[in-house]
Amino acid sequence: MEGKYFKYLLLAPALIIVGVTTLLPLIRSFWISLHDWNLTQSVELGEFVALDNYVQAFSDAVFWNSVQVTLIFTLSTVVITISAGIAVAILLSKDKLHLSYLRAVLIIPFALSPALVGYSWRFMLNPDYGLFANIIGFLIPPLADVVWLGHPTTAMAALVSVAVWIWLPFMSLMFISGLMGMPKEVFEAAKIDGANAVQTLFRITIPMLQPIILIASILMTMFAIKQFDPIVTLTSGGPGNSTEVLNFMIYNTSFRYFDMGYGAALGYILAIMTVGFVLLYMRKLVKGGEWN
Amino acid sequence: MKKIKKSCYGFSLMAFSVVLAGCGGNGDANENPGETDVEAGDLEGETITVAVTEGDIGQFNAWEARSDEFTEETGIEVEFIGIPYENLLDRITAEGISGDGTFDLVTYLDIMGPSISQFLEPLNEYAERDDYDFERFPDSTMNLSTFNDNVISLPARANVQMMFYREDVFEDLNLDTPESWEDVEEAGREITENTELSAITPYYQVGNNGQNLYMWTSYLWSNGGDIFDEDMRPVFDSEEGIEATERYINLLEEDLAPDGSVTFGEQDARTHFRQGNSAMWIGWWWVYSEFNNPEAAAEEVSGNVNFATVPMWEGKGGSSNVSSFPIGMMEGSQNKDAAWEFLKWLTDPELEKSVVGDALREESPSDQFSTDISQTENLRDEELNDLLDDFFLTGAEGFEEAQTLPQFEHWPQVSDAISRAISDMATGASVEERLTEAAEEVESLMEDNGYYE
Repeated sequence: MEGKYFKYLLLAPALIIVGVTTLLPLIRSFWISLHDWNLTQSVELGEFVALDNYVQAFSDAVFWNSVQVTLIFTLSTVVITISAGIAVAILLSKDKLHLSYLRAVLIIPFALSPALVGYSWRFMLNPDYGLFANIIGFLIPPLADVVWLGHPTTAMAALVSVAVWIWLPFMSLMFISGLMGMPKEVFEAAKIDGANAVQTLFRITIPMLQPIILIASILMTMFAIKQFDPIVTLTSGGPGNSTEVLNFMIYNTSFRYFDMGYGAALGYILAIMTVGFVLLYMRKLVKGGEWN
Repeated sequence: MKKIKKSCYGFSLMAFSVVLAGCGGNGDANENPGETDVEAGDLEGETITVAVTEGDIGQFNAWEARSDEFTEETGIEVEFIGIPYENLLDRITAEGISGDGTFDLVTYLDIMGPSISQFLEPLNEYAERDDYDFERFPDSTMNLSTFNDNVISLPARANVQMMFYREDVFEDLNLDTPESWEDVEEAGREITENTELSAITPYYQVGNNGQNLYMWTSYLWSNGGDIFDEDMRPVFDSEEGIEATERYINLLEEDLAPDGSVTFGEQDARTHFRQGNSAMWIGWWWVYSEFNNPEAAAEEVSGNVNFATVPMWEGKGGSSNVSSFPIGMMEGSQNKDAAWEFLKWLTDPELEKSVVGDALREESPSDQFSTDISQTENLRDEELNDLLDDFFLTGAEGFEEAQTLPQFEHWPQVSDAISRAISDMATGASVEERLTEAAEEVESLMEDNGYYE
């Protein structure tokens, strides 16, 4: 007892808390996903239906639409945010006083509530009195009458723009810290060897940023898949269900229709998708022992 | 070291105890609902909690302010708890499942009824015991509070749809008050040709608990169409349904409605009208005071808004929608008799008349301003109607003619399917094809859930 089990005893409170707050709900929700449980009928768990809820999902047209929307939204958001984040980081990573102020200001969009951002953009894209709609109409007159949230393509573009706007500062800061931590000698050597700016960017900067790009991509994918508040407040999934991501469908199924079994199954499918994305990144972006 | 170990064992034990305690059950709820013969005086000292939505709603503020009178009369304390509207359904559901009686009474939007009816106490036996007459409320709103023949709430806050229009614009253009959809279209053409205004502001956006169904159903029902037939088969893609929907969508195609209305929820559309951007709006009657409030509406709008019943379909008839925000008793309440006493007091016609009358005579604080009348006797009350240009009489007509959206367990799914279709049609999809597709989706949903033999 002396010493041998004491460490486990010290760990016990943490393990109990994690178990009760994380593992139990995960197991419980998986168990729920194997049942036909509609909360409007009973607070008791319904009939055991094995994998029927999962089978139902794969034959549900609304589900497949949500999967497609989720993939388009996630891929667009991740690619644009990471690319723009690297660009912003390169612009702001110099060690100058005025840039340090800019870096501080950069974080503001990230500090705002996503729901509030969604509402704000909704106002700004309003075709009658919206700031963005009027600016775009002034700069590009043929686009003056476009109802940005009124068409599936433009609504999706608006949604991706909002997500990028929210996450760009955080991603930029990650890349800025990576760039500022790079050894100056490498860049000096490249300069001496006659490398131009583009060559330096693609042959040195980006390869050296790869571990951060990997982490940023994984994080951004998870953030994008989980995005909920701005979607509800900006488009409510519309027009039709053209911007209804899987997350929003899960919310509707579980907390508006109270179909808890099906909602739990959809939740697990989303979780599997997220894990799949992460594994894909790790396989594609990291080869051999570079992942450390 | 031993002391540290002892502390660690103690802490572990405590943590385990806390976890076990958290998994424990709840106390028992009251038994034998409505069967005891209780005098209000016997309940002195009890405290009941009433969950209302936040948002500085005048009627709820007036209830809270006047609940002191109830406490004086009965000795029962009343505590109001504000809940954000967005969380209301979640909170009621969570409280219902836990059954711990945190709330004794809850207010909710009628469409939440099918989901939460299992958590609400049927009121029939209480009413029978105390000779409480449910007929004080219009049938249309009582239907929204009744499930499987059980009355689960009282529609103390109810709304009927009305048409609101800019009287100054209509007078300038020598236009009569629209009585039919054709009148709306003709007046609309005059308005868009001669002013900078849109004719009318509908709200086609998907979501928001099916807000875009309300104006659509006014078209549908007035043309003799319906959502379901008597066997619960979807019939909104019938000839009448297609004709009504085409006419509704045509407001956009004829440029009578602003392009932006495809992205408007009810609140956006109301704001559009309130800002002086359009000449007509159809929606809930409670906004009338807002339209004529100089602090809440544009200068040219305030004082120039008049009202009428929802237009009819030429040669067929008219029908508006009603919606209620009833108050019900939680099944898990530990103070059911006290809660029932409060419900009786709250729905006394004299109290309702007094709240609205005082507001209209400017004898109550501005935060208690309310024109919410829900009882037939008060809708036809001469004194109240004199105070507001027969507004309540017009509302009474609406309540009598109104139909209500279906109330059943899978209605939210059906509502969302139709809501998506309306949004799609407003953004260019073919009415006939999209309506048929939505009807097939609804029929499949109903079939899967056992609605057909």
